[in-house]
Amino acid sequence: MLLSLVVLAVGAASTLATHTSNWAVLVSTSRFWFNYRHLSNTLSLYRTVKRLGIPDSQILLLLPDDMACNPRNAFPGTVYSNADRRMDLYGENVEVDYRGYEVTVENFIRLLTDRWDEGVPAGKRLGTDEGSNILIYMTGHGGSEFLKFQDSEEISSWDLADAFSQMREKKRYNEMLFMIDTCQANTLYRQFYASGMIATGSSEEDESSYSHHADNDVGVAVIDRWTYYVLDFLETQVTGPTSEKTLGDLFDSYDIRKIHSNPGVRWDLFPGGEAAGRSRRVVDFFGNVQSVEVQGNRTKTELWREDIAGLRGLIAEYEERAEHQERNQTKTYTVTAAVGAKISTCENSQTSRVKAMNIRDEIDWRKQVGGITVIGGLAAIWFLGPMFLS
Amino acid sequence: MLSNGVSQKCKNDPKEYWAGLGFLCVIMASSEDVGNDDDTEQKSTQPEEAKKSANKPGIATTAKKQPPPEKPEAVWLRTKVILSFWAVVVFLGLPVWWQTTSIYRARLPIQQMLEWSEGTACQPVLPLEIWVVSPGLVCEDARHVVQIAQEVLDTMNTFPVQPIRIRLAKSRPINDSKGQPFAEDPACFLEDYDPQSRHPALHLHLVPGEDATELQLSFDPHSARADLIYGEVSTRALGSGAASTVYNIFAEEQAGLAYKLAAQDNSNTAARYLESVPEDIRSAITARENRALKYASTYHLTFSLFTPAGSPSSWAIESALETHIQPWTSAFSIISNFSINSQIQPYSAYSPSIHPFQDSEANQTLLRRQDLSAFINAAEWPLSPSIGADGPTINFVLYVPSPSEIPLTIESSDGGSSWLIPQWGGVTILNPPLHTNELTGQPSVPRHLDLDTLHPAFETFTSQLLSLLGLPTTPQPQMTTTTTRRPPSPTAPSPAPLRLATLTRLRTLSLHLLTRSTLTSLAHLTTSLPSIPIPHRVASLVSASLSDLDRTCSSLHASRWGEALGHATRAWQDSEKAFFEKSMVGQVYFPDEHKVAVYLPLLGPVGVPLLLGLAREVARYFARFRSWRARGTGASG
Repeated sequence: MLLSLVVLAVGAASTLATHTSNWAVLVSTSRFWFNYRHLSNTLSLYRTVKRLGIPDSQILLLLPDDMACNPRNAFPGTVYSNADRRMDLYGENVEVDYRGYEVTVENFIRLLTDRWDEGVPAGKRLGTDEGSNILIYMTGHGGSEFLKFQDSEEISSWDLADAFSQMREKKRYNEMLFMIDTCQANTLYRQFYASGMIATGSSEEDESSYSHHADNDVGVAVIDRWTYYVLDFLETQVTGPTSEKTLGDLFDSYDIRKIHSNPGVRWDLFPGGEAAGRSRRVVDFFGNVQSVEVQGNRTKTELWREDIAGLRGLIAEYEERAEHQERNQTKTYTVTAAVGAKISTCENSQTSRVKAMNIRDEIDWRKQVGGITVIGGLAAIWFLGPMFLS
Repeated sequence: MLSNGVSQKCKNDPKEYWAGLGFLCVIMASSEDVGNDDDTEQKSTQPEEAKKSANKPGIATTAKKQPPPEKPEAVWLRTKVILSFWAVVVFLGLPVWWQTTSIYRARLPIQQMLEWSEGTACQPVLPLEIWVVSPGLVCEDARHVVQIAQEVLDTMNTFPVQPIRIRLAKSRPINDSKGQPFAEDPACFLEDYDPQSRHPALHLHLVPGEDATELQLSFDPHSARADLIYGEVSTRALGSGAASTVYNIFAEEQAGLAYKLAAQDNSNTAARYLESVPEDIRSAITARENRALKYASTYHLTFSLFTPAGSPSSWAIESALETHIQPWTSAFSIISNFSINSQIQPYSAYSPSIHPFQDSEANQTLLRRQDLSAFINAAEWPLSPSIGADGPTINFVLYVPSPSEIPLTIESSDGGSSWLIPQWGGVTILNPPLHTNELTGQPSVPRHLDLDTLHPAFETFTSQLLSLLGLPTTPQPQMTTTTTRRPPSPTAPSPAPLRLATLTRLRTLSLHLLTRSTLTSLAHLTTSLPSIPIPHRVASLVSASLSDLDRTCSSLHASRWGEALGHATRAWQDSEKAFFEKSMVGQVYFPDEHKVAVYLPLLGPVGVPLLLGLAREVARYFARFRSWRARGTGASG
């Protein structure tokens, strides 16, 4: 009985778990020149996921500052993550989706939960569905269970956990890899509770994350240690989109002597736990699923052509007949009229909704009047009080 | 003594007291004894104090000068001050604090929303109605055939979501293959139907054929009609033949419905049914579902011509669309609307990461298969420009390579030059015939692509469009396919009207299940996140969505497909709007220590004097009350 239940559950899971697309959200959260390394961390990851095949339309890059165009940059228009300056990360082909003051906690939460105004372009949205694997990489300055955004606000582990659980609830991802490089990074995924996630961070609680090395000509540190060694693995071991390296290999490559902090991994939210998580390929998150279907084998094209030629004829006749039917059947008109009426009621309700919003505006106005009255009244009492008293 | 100085100043200058130092005064007044009004009083009280302190030996020498007793009006003033401060706190401060910090949460019909997922609400059933028309049979026989067919079908059809009912219907006059109208027995008056009540999924015509030895099936290409031609057969054979015909026609649709139920609703019965479906049909359905875009009421089709050089700079796009695409978009208009636009982008090469290689043997350039997914130059090609537009964009990219690369094809694909990107669109490489440029003598690409050159590419686009829209394309499992109207073709799909009706039902069910799951998610969300605000708009959208769900379900039960799709679409749109309401981004989480950190600096310096002042005042009133009672009892006793 129990066995059959298990078999059923596995069967259901196998029909569900189809991985159809890959998305990456790469976030740097700090401004200013001395945080150069956070932007180069993020850009390095951006280069890597692009190299492994995630198209730009499925990478959301959030950079709060523009190091390439910073006046202090001795190499204008470029960003390097290594003192050898062999690879310009900024290059000619970088698509930043959120820039400068757009990188806020609110926008990040909106991005994850997809709660936007109408009219926010598709390129700025996370258009994932139940078949998407998401890579989230964050870097910046953080502390115990929080990460600072742009010196003015912070996101906490609870905020992230709630956002991810909402994504899970709406089936907005299949599997997710959360990576964070900041001080006390491992505390940031402590509160997560949405399933299907693997989380990894650079340092334990009360532990700093360190930068790797500085470029004396750039004048600041250019990359963080943990990110450096993760990239090192990705560049040297994961050579292409067909690489068979697994997440287990990636996490085993962490060397505390090199990283100078204790990286952590969290498996318990992943279905199947550590065993299943370790066997996931790195390119399941860093690369793009190969889903292109080649068509146009010549003989098949011939068949298609014949088929479509036939179908086109059918459609023409079908249309003609539909027109004919429409002319004959007056009843269809009543149906459409009924549907039309329903649509119009919908519109009515919408207009009433708009009105409701206006009422809200009025309430604001009333509140203001109320506030002014109260303050005026208080001022009056303040000045008139002594008269009564005297 | 600062406090005395302040108090004195307060007493001496009431205006300044009120205007400037009121707050400080009340603190001081409540924490310090008010007194030292004037020197005379001090002097008058001094001897008493001295006497009192003299009574206590030892302290007498260090006795502090005691303040004089307060005047009753000073006490009363202090009470009024404290009360007025408390009045402001209670009647203004607390309500304002409450108003500004509380989160508005409209009440949602959680129970109703959860009922849909728990299965206690209406479960979708999509009964199919088959109308059998048998002009060649006498009334008795026809009824018998239908009865047998129903019995056989009931044993074959094990899928509870889609029961199939066969009914005998009065036919419209039909013609046989020679154009002669069949004779119909007017006396055989069959069950009377209101054509508006149920939409028949199929008209099955039982046609007698003179030379037919066995049952033959032929489809009418432009309506939901199939002819079953029979020769010399018994009514039983005819009945069971009709039943298996009907079953075969709808077997794939049932598998598709079961797939949706299993995937979206975790339905165990559907999963079990799906297990019994042949493997090839199941994998075809899985592939189809993964390929197709999510349902939208409007799709935008963008046809783009990209070329790395300046030519071709024009193409016969209008006539190509008219011939290939528009028949389909108008046929699909019962399900979705389409907007079509096109663009030509010269000097746009493919992505720089792509490196095709020369195949010198066949004298052609080949693209690596693993490069195909990165072929689209997402950074530079202006694709999917649907900013703010409602609905997804399906992209069709026609790429004309530079003359040096022609012909450009895909490696190991036998000359294939087109591919489909699931849920995104299609790409076709067009290798036009080259001609020699008169000026340079170099081979060059024609400046204008005419319709004949575009035909193959647009045929591919059409097939890609159909797969992206999820139209069932697998060939019909047919028992005998000797068609009379069309030449036999090995992969003949069933006629478009039937497939479109199937797609309508699949889409309706899918939307219905999606709405249910969205509403359930929203219900879970509201209960699990107490800090998320829920505006009134969400509540009204949810109730609209719930009522449309009900209507969808009843329309499905009544087999009114178009109506059901309309309701399902509205329910889905409302539920999505409710879930993705933009003001439902919760306040950023504050741990309790943060709250303390915010409130303590405020509550410390302000709250302590307020509370202490009140406490002293209350204590004093108690003391007075007690002394008054003591005096009262003393008087009586």
